[in-house]
Amino acid sequence: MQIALNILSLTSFYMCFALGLALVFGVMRVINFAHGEFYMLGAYSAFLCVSLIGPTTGALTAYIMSFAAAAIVTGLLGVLLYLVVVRKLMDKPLTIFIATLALSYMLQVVVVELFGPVGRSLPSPIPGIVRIGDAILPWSRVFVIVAISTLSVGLWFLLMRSDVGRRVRAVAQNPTGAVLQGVSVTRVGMMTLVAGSMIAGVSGAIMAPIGGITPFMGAAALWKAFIIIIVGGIGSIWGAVAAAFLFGTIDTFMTVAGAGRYLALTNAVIMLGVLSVMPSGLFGEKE
Amino acid sequence: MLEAKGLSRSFGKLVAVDGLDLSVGRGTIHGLIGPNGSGKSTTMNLISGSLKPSAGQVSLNDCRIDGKSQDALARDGLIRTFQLTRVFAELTVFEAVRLGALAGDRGRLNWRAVLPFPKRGPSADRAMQAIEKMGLGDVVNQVAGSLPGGRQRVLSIATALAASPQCLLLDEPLAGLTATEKADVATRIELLRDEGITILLVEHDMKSVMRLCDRVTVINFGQRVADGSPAEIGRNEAVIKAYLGEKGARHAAG
Amino acid sequence: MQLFAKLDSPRTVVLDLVTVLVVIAGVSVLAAVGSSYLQGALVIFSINAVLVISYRTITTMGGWSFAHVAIMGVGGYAVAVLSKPPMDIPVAVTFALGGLAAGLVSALLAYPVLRTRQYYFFLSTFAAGEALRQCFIQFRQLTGGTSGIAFIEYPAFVQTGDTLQFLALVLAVFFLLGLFYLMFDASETGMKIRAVGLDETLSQSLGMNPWRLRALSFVLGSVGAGVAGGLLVSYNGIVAPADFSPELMFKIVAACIVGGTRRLYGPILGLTFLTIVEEAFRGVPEYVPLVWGGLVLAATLYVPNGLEGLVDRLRASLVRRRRHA
Repeated sequence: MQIALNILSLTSFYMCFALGLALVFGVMRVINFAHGEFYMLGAYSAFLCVSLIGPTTGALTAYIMSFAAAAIVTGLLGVLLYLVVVRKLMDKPLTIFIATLALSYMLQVVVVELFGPVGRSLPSPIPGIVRIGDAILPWSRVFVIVAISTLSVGLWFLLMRSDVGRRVRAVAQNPTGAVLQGVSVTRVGMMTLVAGSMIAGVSGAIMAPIGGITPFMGAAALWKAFIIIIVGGIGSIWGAVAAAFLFGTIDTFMTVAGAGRYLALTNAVIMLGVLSVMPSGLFGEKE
Repeated sequence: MLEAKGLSRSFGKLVAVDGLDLSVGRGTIHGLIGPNGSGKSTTMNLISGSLKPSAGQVSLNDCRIDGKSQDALARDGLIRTFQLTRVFAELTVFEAVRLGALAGDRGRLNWRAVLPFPKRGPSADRAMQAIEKMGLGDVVNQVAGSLPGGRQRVLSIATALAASPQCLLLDEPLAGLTATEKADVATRIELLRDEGITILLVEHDMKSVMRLCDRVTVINFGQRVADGSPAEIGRNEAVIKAYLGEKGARHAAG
Repeated sequence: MQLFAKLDSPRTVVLDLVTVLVVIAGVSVLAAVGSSYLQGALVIFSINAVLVISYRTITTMGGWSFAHVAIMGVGGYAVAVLSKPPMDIPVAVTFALGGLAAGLVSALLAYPVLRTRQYYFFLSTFAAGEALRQCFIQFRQLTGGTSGIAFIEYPAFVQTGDTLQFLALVLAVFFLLGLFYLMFDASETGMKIRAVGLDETLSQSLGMNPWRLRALSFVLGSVGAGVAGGLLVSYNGIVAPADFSPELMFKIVAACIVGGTRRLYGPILGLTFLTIVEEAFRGVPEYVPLVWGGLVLAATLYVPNGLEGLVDRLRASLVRRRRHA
């Protein structure tokens, strides 16, 4: 039971990293290397909010408000990123990758200057634990599971059921065809990038109380996100969920079995293995 | 020389090509025509190795070639051009065509291949020959991407030619060209045929096809509708129906 | 618009060769008059130069690999392990063996990694690089884990501790490898590899085997990386996983973006530029990634052909001016 809860919790953590990236990658075939830094900025927003406003309004309120703050900050950055970089380099995904890689380094340095290289920690605004049977799970992690599931399901509904979502899917499947249908690819592209960035920021804020907040947390999160969306397959949000679950399970079992040291290696090998056999990932669409 | 028997290919439930028989005689220009969506491009892709057939076989000089990779087929002498013209846009005309000549080098990785400066040498000669044959001599040092569309099309044929093909598969070589350009390309294709190269071309422009081809196969809904000389095809009722539809055929007849 | 210099004409090759020689001369002069700090920095610069030209060979096939520095590590660890007991192979020989080991590993990696294209390619090489780094850390018995292996010697013909002699060795290696990559680039096979990089579908339709050509370029570039790794390890006297970091990988990529990769001198120019910036900010090293990042960003947005592109434009305008005169 405990293991099941741990798996669920870990999967939800991974989904936090991967959801926004999967969206942007799937729709625009663009990799935003700075995604990890948006995640990191979201976490710092939560830290700031809770530290500054928390004493006045109570930690929990500040925590919730920080989601909005994170969304605003990363949303604005997403707009900027789109206008300055992505729109100009639309036909060269490789170059976008490198440009956003450069950006991520720049953001890391800026944050180190502002907050120092040492990590901060944010005590959980949702204290306490819940008992299910003889397994325990901190409320904060429950919150993460609920929050990210809501976000994922909300995104799914948005993509599948709404007008906007249909346009986004059209661009994802066939950009030229979408243009012929009167869909503005630039606008959809910008919306997607902004949405993906906001998801990254909000996830970062959600995850802030769990684990430390350092300027370099984005890189580790991004690495995991890459593995998940590659294995899950390009263009597939549910693929990302499946892959997150897969790695959540594998990683939990390995940690329990005491082989935690080999996690990174195993993940990388699995990714290479999947790519050898299925170059488009498990649920990916073929090019 | 080039034969397809019972060639079929489906994409899920969509049957693009259905039991197609096609026979291209050596040293002839053979046209494959049909209305939009009839399966011409799929057939082209099946023969050139981009797609694997769901059923049926393709043979070149009585050797089965279906399932072989594109580059293996090209080395066997079966070379294709693309509907959306592809050239090495960043290189000069000479460099681009010479790459075709180098690719056609049927030898294995021989020691000469790793020595620098193959500017002189058989590949350069073959490249210049192909350039002259296709009338590109005046733009030899121009960047390929800066040429007008029609000449880029000619360049793509020259590049394929430099690879010493036995059989050229031309995918809509006349599409989008002006009347003069079409006449020019058509003449050059005839010259290639006269030199012994077998040519299979997929085309849309009926008039040019009738003038250019020695034999024509008409395809619709992935199946062969008719096969014969241009004159026979022109009189064939089924063909007219395929292109113009029932009403159009009646209109044309009466 | 005329291409200013054809990609493989003898003139181009000679120009690139001249650049290599100029770099070697420049480095030698600086080393002769410079402080011992400068000499050490020049050794590192020269090793990075080897890294950067070997990386460029891989980029000619159209792929940007993120495993290059990790593969360099394979060469480094090979030198460390082979030059110590129980193998006790002379260090100079282990340099070559390190290169071979790197080539072998890259050939093995080629299978999963070269089936991918574009963004999948750099992601899968990213993964491969991480996997290799994890191997360095985890196989403690062999590699010494995070602390690595220490007390690796200079090669026998270089006096221990003599930086200038070691620098001469590195420059000699740089010259030989530079010459090799140049000649290879200008050969038929090199041209075919570049063709695959330009348009793989077209190249394949003409008869080239893209996989074999890409694998060849990948392996040849990796051998260079392995040799560079061995040199670094011998110079430092110690090898540890931290030597083969993502930051170094970024530096290599940045050098190629900022400098351009069409010709051999591009990455070298880019590396020089970045190293000068790095030295200029020696007092505030935290800002270096910021500046490098800014340079790369600016390059991708405004100078897509890199410094090479600027050089070409400069020469073109000089020619035009001479014509009008």
